[in-house]
Order: sequence, then structure tokens, then C-alpha cells
Amino acid sequence: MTNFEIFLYPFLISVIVIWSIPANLYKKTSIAKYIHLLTPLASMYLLFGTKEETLPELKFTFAFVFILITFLSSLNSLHIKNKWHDCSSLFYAGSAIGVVTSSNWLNFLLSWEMMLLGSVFLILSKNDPESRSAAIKYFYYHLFSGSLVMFGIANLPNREFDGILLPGWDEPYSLLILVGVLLNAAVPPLHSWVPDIYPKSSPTANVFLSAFTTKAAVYVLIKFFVGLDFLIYIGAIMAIYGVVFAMISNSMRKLLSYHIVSQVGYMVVGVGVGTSFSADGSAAHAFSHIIYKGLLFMSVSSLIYATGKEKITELGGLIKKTPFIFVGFAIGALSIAGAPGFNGFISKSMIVDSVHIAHLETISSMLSIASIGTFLSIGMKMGWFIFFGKNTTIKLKKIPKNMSLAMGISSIICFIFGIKPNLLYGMLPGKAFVDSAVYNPWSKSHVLHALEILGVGFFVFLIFKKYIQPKEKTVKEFGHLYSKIFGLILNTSISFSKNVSKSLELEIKNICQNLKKDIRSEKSTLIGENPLKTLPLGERLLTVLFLMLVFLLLAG
Amino acid sequence: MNSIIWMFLAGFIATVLISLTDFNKKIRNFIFLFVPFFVFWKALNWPSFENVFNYKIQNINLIDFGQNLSLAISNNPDSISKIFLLLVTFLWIFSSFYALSYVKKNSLKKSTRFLSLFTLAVSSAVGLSISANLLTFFVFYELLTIATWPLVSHKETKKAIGAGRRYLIYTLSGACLMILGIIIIWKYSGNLDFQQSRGMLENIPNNLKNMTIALLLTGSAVKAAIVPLHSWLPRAMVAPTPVSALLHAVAVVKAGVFAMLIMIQNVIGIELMFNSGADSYIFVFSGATILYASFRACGEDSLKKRLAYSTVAHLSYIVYAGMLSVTAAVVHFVAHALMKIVLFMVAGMIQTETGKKRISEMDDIGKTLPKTFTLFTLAALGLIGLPPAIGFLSKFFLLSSAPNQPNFLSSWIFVFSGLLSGVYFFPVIVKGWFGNSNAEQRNENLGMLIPMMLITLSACIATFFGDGF
Repeated sequence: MTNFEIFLYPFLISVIVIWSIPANLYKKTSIAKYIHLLTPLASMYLLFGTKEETLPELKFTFAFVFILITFLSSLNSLHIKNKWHDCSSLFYAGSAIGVVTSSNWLNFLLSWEMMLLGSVFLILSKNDPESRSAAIKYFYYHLFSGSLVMFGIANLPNREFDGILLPGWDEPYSLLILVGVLLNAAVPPLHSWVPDIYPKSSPTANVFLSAFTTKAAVYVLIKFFVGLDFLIYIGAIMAIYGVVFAMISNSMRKLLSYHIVSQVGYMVVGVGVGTSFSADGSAAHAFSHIIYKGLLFMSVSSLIYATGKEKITELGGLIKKTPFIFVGFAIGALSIAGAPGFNGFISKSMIVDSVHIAHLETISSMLSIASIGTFLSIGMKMGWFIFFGKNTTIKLKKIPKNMSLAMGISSIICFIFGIKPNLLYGMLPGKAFVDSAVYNPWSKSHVLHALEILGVGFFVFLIFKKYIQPKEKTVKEFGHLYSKIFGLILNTSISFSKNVSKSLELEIKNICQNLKKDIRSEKSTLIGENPLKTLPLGERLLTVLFLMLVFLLLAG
Repeated sequence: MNSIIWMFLAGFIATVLISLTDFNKKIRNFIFLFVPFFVFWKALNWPSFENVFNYKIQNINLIDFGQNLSLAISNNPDSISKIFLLLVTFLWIFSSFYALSYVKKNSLKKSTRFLSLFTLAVSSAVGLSISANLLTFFVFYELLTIATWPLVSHKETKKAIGAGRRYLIYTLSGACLMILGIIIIWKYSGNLDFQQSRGMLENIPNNLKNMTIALLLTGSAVKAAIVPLHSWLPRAMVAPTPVSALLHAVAVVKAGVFAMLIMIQNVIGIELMFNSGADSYIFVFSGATILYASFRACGEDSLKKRLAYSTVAHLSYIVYAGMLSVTAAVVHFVAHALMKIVLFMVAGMIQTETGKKRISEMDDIGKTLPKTFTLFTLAALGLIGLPPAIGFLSKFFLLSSAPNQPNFLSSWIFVFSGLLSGVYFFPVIVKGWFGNSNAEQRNENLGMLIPMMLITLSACIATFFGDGF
């Protein structure tokens, strides 16, 4: 049995079991929720069962963190009673794990497309008009990227999967795969599905969504496209781009979604630099990112649960009312900003260092700016205006225990990996070796650099607080443009094709009627006088018979 | 008499028997259900081993007209024919159960006529696939047309009769062109046998050659519903659903595509196609059909018509791919048949159970008929090219057909039309599962549900057996 199947089966079995639970039983008992929670544990057990045998490090790292985040987000959504949510989230998680554990192209492609189905139905599970149209859009984006990937894979010259690098630019087919994967990795200008669509899903679903699709794409980049130069520049632009738009967005989840773009940018830079250390950095950063972004989305989802509000401007002064959420949020924010002692620090500094080693000073300063922006927009902007700032009188619902538990566990994980980086480094393919020694993030210059970034962010916030304050304005960017263009093309083509068919029908009708008239009238426009019309019936028959005879003779 | 003849003869005899046993519905239904099993069993054994080893008896002559003209059945089929035969007979079993339940549930009038002609139509498709020469092929091809015509007009409304007439005009004009082409071939090469078909057009003088190619291709393009010869197909959707399902998703249109493939691959030969410049016509027309029909499908509100336009588009996938790689064409041939028949059956089920025909009315149809709509979802996702149904695999094959062509841009059409399939199917799925109405679950007719389930199941299983990687 291939590895792929081992990890997928628990998920598929659970999906089928949960789907077949009758509606009554589903409503009354929480049996489905326990199955949902046990599935990642079963998969984790299998993962450690097979570790010695075959699973390479890169696959192991990603599979491990995917299973971990599945467990945490499943815990976070334990109070939700929605069959679609349960089934599609498990399906989604299972297929994402399938992507990172598959060992041939068929399995890879199969789980890649299954990932699309899982995520689309997960978005749909919210079941309101907004999420419906968002899901349809999401479907189109990913159907397109999936087709590109499939097109590329279908035409690869050989079918090897493990241990190969694709040439990227040089060959059209691998370029197709690359473009499809970059769309999934939310590279601008193909990124807009992330900030446009994720906020339209339900808050608990968003925790799942933030973890898998983009990171599975990062996995593919690390596996097949390490060392493509231009990825460095793309990644650096991504990192800044995401931050800039995060600064000006008002919806909490939209802001965090832009930060997915930005953080994936770091990973893409790591892939582009192309040393074994930088690739390790990308994998490590994907690992950390999944956990702390999960934590951030969890805290936002509990905030939305408690207050019912989505926008930063509608919130304020919540620190006394929701101290626990604040702690979770703060740990997530510090992690994403790369504060020493949290897991963002140990992985982000790997990428920044690998850029330093490759002497790419512009890129490194771009990444630093992005880091400052990250801290500024999440740590200061969100943190300040939600938990401090003006007081609002919102009636708060008590958040369920499972949400707090999920947040607590994720915070602890962020913290543990932050102070024990070797836990993570040991899992990586290159063991985070740089200059033949395990990388040490706790050197003086690293810590100073990180504190510098936090300090700059803090002061910029103090000075420009007025301008950073969230405003109630929606930002329109590429996604808006794309849906306009897509709608325009589609509508014009539909009406064009309808018109064509109408005029075609009319033309054919005219021809037929003319023919009919010609045949019936004595004088034809086509052949002059109609010989058949002028003859009596018996002679007409004879003529036809004669013609048939001539035809037969000629044919014979 | 050889047992292979029974493959289509059984169907013809059954047609007569069914029409004679109108007085006793039980016997009639028994015959109707029994014949497909018999024919499928025969089809599995074709060609039987004794015939394979006995090379002397290649074809079985039914009627010999002399001068190399005969009605004959092949004993040594090529893979396309065999696949077509197995596909039609396999789906015949399920759709006969479905058709019977449909007739009962809808209390269809003149059901005996319906059932007997249904049997006749499918058995002429069977005859088509086992024919050994062009003349036999043509006879069965036209028998199929004539048998289907009363089925299209079965409801005897003005609309149905008009659709039937249009169907007849289109297909018979196609037939005229095709028989002209066949006569020219026979006149010059003296042989219509598929076996020696590689050089079928060799002896034809050059000034006639291109015309012959054009006649053959245009003649078969009518049933393959290539624009601008397609407009009979969406109109023929007034027929009862089993007809749309088996005949207009599988037998008739697939006969057209089968004819196209036979013409391209066997009669004309792929080399001559490229040398004579006919290839560009095929690419342009089938490519235009794919785009045109996909857009029409996007703009169509009636579910059956949307499916019909989708059929038009997907048929052209097969023709287009037939020029690039036969494997891809044949895989999609099978895949499309398996999935489209389910979609039509679902449309019939929805209409029977709820009376809804339009997509705009289908809010929450998934809650009303959950099992049915699950099958719809699987089949529609398959046609879009997503797992688990076999469409995923066939899309892969279609896309991988590119390198046989010097210019790989040609396969882009599959990417875009796959996207368009998503545009016209996915909103239906979303609407069906996530509507706003308070729908209640209804009982689903098992006689109609089980055949659909089995076909979908086989379509899903086929994905994991067709390992082309």
C-alpha cells in the first residue's frame, strides 16, 4: 500500500460514516463530532507507525502539521452542528494530506482536485447567498488552476514523481504546472481568491481554509521548483503586497487573509533562493504559519462568535470582557510578527538569513519592511482597536469551552516550538543545517533584529495612529476586476451564441421555404421551369422511375 | 447459423414480440427486461474464441447482393466497435429498468409502442457496432434513425411532432450525403469491407477524393451534432426521458461520433485526413461547436436542454480528440456516456417526482431528493473533470493528447471548455444543495434510482481501473 492511501482512508471512512448518520441522531447526539475529532488522531497514529519505513522528511513535516491543524480546527468547531461542515472539512483535510503524502502523479492529481471539492463545499456549508456566490467564484479559480496543473502533468515527458525537479520556465508543460501552483499559492495578481472568498466562509471553516490550500501549493513549490530565481522577487513582492492591503482593510478576516498572501511570500522567497537551508526555512515557516495563523483565525472566530461583528470599526475595548481571547490573539500576533520566543521567530529568521547568505540585500530589506508591516497591522492595528481603543457596548455571548481549549492548545504549541526550535528543525529534510551546524536562531543579532522590527512597528503606530485607524471603506482590487471581466466575457458570449443560433435558424428556414416554393411553383428561380409540375401525374411517376434507373445503371 | 447474429436479431424479434404482447403487460415487460441481458452476455463473448482462431471465417454474410455488395457482420472487431457495443449493451440493461419504472410512474400512454421501438433502436445500435462493411453500417445507422423518430414524437403534441420532423430531416439529409460517399467508394474501389479499409479511398480519382471525404464526414457529422448541424438535438429533448437518456446521450449521438471515428480512422485514414486538409475543417468545426454549445448551455434554463447542449459540446470533444489520439477519444466516449446518461436520468427523476423542469425552480432539490441529487453531483463533477467519476480520467487523457500534435496550443480548448462545463454545472449543484426553501424529503422511486446508482458506481470504479499513468 502506498503512503497516500494510509493517510486518506481514515478521512474518507469518517466522511462516509458521518454522512450516513441519520438526521435525528445527528442532531441529538454529538457522535459525529467525536468521529470528527478522532479522525486526525487515527491519521497521526498511522503517520508515526510508518515513519521508519518510507515517508521522507518533507512529506512527514507537512503531513504532521496538516494532521495537527486538522485536530485543532476540529476541536475549534466542535460546537457547530452542520453535516456539510463536518464532512467537507474532513474531506478537505484528508485530501490536503493526500497531496503532501502521495508518491505518484495520479494520486497527487486526484487529491489535488479533491482538495478543491472539499474546500468549495466547506465554504458552501455556511449556506447564505454571499457564501454561495463566493464558493462559485472559488470553484472557477481553482478549476482553472487544477486544469493547468492537470494539463502540465498529462504532458510531462516522464512519469517520475519523487526526487525530481521540474525545469520551471524552460519547458511549457512544467510552466503550466508552475502557474497552476502559483495560483493556489495566492501569488499576486492571482491571489484575490484568498482575501475575497475566505471572509465569506463561516468563521470556523476559515480556520480549516487558512491551513491547507496555500500550504499544499508551497509544498509543491519546495518539492519541484526549488531554485527558480524569479520566485525570490515574486515572493518579496507578495510579502509587501499582502501587508499593504492588510493595512487598509477593515474586516478582521480579510486582514488576516491578506496576511496569508504576505506570509506565503516569505516561503516563496525561501523556495527561490534554492539552497537546502532556505528550502528548510520555507518548510519550517509553512509549519509555523499553519499553527499561528490557525490560532489567529481561531481567536477571530471566537470574537465573531462572542460579538457577532466582523469589522474592526464595530469593536473596541474588549480586553476586560474577553481576556482569554486577547491572550490567544496576542500570542498569534507575536508569532506572526516574529517575536523571539514564539514559533514565527524560529522559522522566519531562517528565510531572512538564507537571503542574507545569498547576498540579496534588497530582498532582505523588503522582507524587513514586510515584517514591520505585519506587526503594525496585526499586532498594533488589530490588537489596539479591538481590545483597547474606544469602548463599545456590545452584548457578549459566552464562547464555548472547545474554542477556548483549541486556542489554548495552539498557543502552547506556538510557545513550545518558539523556545525549543530543535523539535521543528529535526523534522526538516536538511535538518536546518547551515555551515555544517544546526541553525541557531537565538544569536544576538537575530534577537536584536527581531526586537528592532517590533520597536519600529510600535513607534510607527504611535506616530501614525490616526492614519492607520481602520476606515469603513471596501478596497477593490484584482478580484473585482476579474469577476467583472469574466462576467462580461461570459454574458457577451452567451448572447452572441444565442444570436448566432437565431440568425442561423432564420437563414435555414428561409432557404427551406424558398426551396419549397420553388418546387411547388411552376416557374422556379433555381432551375427555371419545373418539369415535374407541368406533367400529368402518371408521367411524373414514370420520369422518377426512369431517373432512378439511370442512377442505378450509372452506379452499377 | 452463427450465434453472433443473435446479438441484433434477438432485439428485432423482441421488438415484434413486445408489440404483440400488449394484452399481457407482465410478459411484455419480461421480454423487455430480458433481452438486454441476453445481448450483453452475447456481446461479452464476441468475438468468441473459435472464431478468433478460425481466420478463414472473418465475416458472416447475411445477404449477398453480388458485386462485393453484402450485408455482413464482423467477426474480428476493432477495439472501437467492441467498446461501443459493450457500452451500449451495458447501459441498455440499466436504462431498460429505468424506462419501465418511468413508464409506470408517469403512466405514459401507448407504452407498448414506446417499449418496442426503444428495443428496436438500441438493437440497431448494436447491429451498427458489429457491422463488417460500410453498407451494413449504413443500413443499421438509418434503422436507428427511423426507430428513434417515433420515440422523439412520442407525446404527439405539436412541439413533439415538429421536433420529430426536424430530427428526421436533419438525419436523413445526412444519410443522403453519406450514401453518396459510400457509392463513390464502392464504384471505384469495389470493396466496402472495413477489414481492407486502409486503402479504401486510394483508387478514387483526385478530383472526387476530396468530395468523397466531405460527403462522408458531413453525413456522419449530423448525428454527431456538429454546429451548424446540431439543432435537432436540443429540440429532440421533448421526448420522454429514457429516450433522451439512452438514445440522445448514448446510442444515437454516439453512433454519430462512432461513425466519425470510423470514417477518420478506418475509412479515410488519419494520414489522408491530414494530407487532404480535412483535418483543419474538423478542428475548426468541432472546436467552434465546443465553445458555441458550452455557451449555449450556460444560457439555458431548462435542465434537459442544458444537458443537451452539454452533450453537443462533449461530442465534439470526442471528434476533436479523435484527430489527436484515439485513446483519448475512446476514453471520453465511454466516460461521457456513463455520466451523461445518469444526468438525464436524474432530470427525468426530478421531473417525475416534483414536476420541475427549470433550473431556476430547483432550489433545494437536494433536500427533496437527496440520493438522486447526490448522483447528479457526482456525474456533473465528472463531466467537469473532477473526481471521483471517470470524467477526471478522461479529462486527463484529453489533455495528454496534445503532444501528438506539433502545436500543443490545440489542447487549450479542453482547458477552457472544462471551465465552461464548470460554469454550467456547478451553479446547479450549489442551487440544489444550498437553496433557501423549506423543502421536505420525498420518497424516491427505487426502480429509477437503482439503475442510476449502479451506473454512477461503475463510473466511479472505472476511474480506479483505467490506470493510464
